[in-house]
Amino acid sequence: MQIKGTKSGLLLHLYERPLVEAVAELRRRLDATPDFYKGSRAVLMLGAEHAEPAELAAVVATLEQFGIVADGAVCEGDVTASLARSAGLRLVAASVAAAPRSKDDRTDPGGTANGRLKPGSAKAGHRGAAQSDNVSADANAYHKGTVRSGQSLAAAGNLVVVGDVNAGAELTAVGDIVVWGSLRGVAHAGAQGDDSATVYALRLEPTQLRISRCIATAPPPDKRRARASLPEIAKIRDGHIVIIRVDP
Amino acid sequence: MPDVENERREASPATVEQTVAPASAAASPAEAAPKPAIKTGRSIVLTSGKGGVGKTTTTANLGTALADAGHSVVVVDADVGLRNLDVVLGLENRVSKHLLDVIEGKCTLDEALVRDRVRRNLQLLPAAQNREKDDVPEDKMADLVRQLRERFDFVLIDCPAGIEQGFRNAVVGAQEAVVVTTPEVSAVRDADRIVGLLPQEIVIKLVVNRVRPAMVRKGTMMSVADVNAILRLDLIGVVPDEREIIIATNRGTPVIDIEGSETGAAFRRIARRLLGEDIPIPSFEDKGNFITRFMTTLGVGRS
Amino acid sequence: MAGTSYVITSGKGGVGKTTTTANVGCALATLGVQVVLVDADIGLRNLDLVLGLEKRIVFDVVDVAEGRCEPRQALIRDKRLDGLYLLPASQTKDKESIGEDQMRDVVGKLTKEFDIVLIDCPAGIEHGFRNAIAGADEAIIVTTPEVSAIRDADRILGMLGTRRTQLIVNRVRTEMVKTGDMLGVDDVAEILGRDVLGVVPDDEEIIDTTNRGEPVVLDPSRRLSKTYIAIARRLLGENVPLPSFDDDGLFGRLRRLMIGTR
Repeated sequence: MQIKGTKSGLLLHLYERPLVEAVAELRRRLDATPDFYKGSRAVLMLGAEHAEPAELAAVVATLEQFGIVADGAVCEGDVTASLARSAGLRLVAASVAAAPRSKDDRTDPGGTANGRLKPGSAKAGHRGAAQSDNVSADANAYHKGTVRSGQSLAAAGNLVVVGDVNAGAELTAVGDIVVWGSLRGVAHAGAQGDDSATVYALRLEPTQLRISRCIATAPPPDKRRARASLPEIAKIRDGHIVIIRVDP
Repeated sequence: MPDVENERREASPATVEQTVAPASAAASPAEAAPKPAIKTGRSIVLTSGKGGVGKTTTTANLGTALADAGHSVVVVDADVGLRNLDVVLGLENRVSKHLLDVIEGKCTLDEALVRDRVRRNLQLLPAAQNREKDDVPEDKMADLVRQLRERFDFVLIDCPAGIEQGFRNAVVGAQEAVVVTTPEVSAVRDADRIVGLLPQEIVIKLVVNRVRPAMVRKGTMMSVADVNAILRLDLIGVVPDEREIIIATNRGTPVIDIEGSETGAAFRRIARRLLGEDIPIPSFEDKGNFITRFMTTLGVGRS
Repeated sequence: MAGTSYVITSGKGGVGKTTTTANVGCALATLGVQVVLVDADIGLRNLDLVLGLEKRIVFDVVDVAEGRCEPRQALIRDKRLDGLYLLPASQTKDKESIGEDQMRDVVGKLTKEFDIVLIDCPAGIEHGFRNAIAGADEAIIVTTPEVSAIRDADRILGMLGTRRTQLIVNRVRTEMVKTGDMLGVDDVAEILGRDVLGVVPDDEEIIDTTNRGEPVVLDPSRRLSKTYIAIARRLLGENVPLPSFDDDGLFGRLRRLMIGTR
């Protein structure tokens, strides 16, 4: 079952199998990283398959247990459409749900929209899917190309970027972060509290580095020894972040 | 059981290639702009994120240069509410109807288009001064751009600063984008943000504006190379800073019409590169004459 | 007594709002004022860069508005100057992430703790602009002496309601004013019909200092440092005379005759 991240939240592909099975798989997936998706909204892709209202309710309830609010559904046909409506889900067009940013799905700036959980319920310091634009479908994420200022990637597992991560960009991973390029933005590895998480970069020049609950800023350029473009690794040692140069 | 030893001997050493840089942007790799099949013009949005880096001046001058090269050009002011393209072109007194009127069906396209005083093949579609950007629905904007592409070889869309609805409206319907930035940290950061927001299909090119070679040499300004180490875009122009630009803008004359202006010459070269010519980007540090004149122009040194 | 909030706005982008906010803020702090700078340019933040505080951002104004943290947690105290704080914008969100009521709320909380709140406004007149002015008691319009900038400033004036509005004329090139190639400060003030809070000459030092995140005010030996301190003093109510740009020569008079002012 696909869990896709879009700028309007999570997109859950639930039409591939009966909802009853989907609930079990959903629980299994979310149990692996219970806090990661907290505070996110979700749109359910229901397709045209008939299902019982109780089954759909079970899906919504399961999501809620993990801090995810289901507030929309993509339906093909009247059967699923009325099912969705009776569950309190508003109908969303497929193109809108999958689009990078749609006016319809934008958060109501006036406050917490109907039913939306207050994002403050996530533990301070823990970052997850709710703070990122692009959440990977699989636990591990692989991104090719420059990550631009203002873009944010998140992975429930490890995150690999082949390309630069520019200043103003944010990477979040429950596991490790590997940047095959220059890391100039903010990277948070071990985002759910894993102190052993590591950040790797060909050029480690981050605005800020976070591993688990530790935060460090990069030392000012003049304080650093002549580094050329040597790869570096950041990990936690003795309760704070250290940068280890990789000597070939 | 697979013969591992043999397999190992079979594999030849991988070739090591020199790579320039890690894989680039959301932008497609530099390729020639789509050539018009039947009469379908090219739609190019000029954008930057940061305000005041020279989008409007670039739009006006590029449009003028392309018109001089024999193409039919329409420059579209997408900055609803804060229009300036008309002023830069010296056409503000000839503006009566505008883009929003056309979209709302209050007038025809021809009634809104303003023809340039000098170049007959250059026209302006002005922005409305008194409305707000939320007023323009994206799909209507896309339709308008499509319409314009059927009539003109080039549709240059002057994008407002920012990343809000004004920006989104200006981008919809554009096949190409020219990102304009100056060699300053904030401008480059904003340009990077913009690149991240442009749709994947758009072909992106870069213009670095207001370069001051003397400051670059002193180390008090980023070099073009520094800028593109971050942006990693297909560079199509470097435009030097000159006081002529301010005078020209205030008078409503394109700077390319000012005799001896290096800035004007740079814009002409950008137009030619857009047309597919492979002109190398001059390194301003080399031209001794240029530097002396340039410093004089800025009021530094003896004339 | 609650502090006063000012929005630093312009309409036209790139005229120096952020640089002005940063430097006037620093100047106020050196004069002993408790001041907080608020970056309202969500998604295109630059105030943190100009102040050199980018690396210390943990929470931002959107986090405060959405209740993810208290304002105190998001504020960054400048280590170089007593009394100077920054409330940064988010870079990964956009202007629609926050509303006018929320901004009013946040600024309201800040005016209880600080003498002066300076709000750095984004370019344009869209949501971001409306959010930025929502919390402001007064406005400071930054403009350059160029037609486009003045035009946009004029447009903005109409949207600021009854707020007291003052002008800062930025990037003035004296020699060009003298030759008639650039409008003078008096011309600008007359067109816009507002009092001039300050005049800042064009100076290439600004580019380098903003790039390095070291506001020019921090270095008293820099020319522009005195300019911003004077602006801060005027803002606090002191009667500091504006610099005269001596264009009373023959050309000045001829020019005025030709364009018919006065």
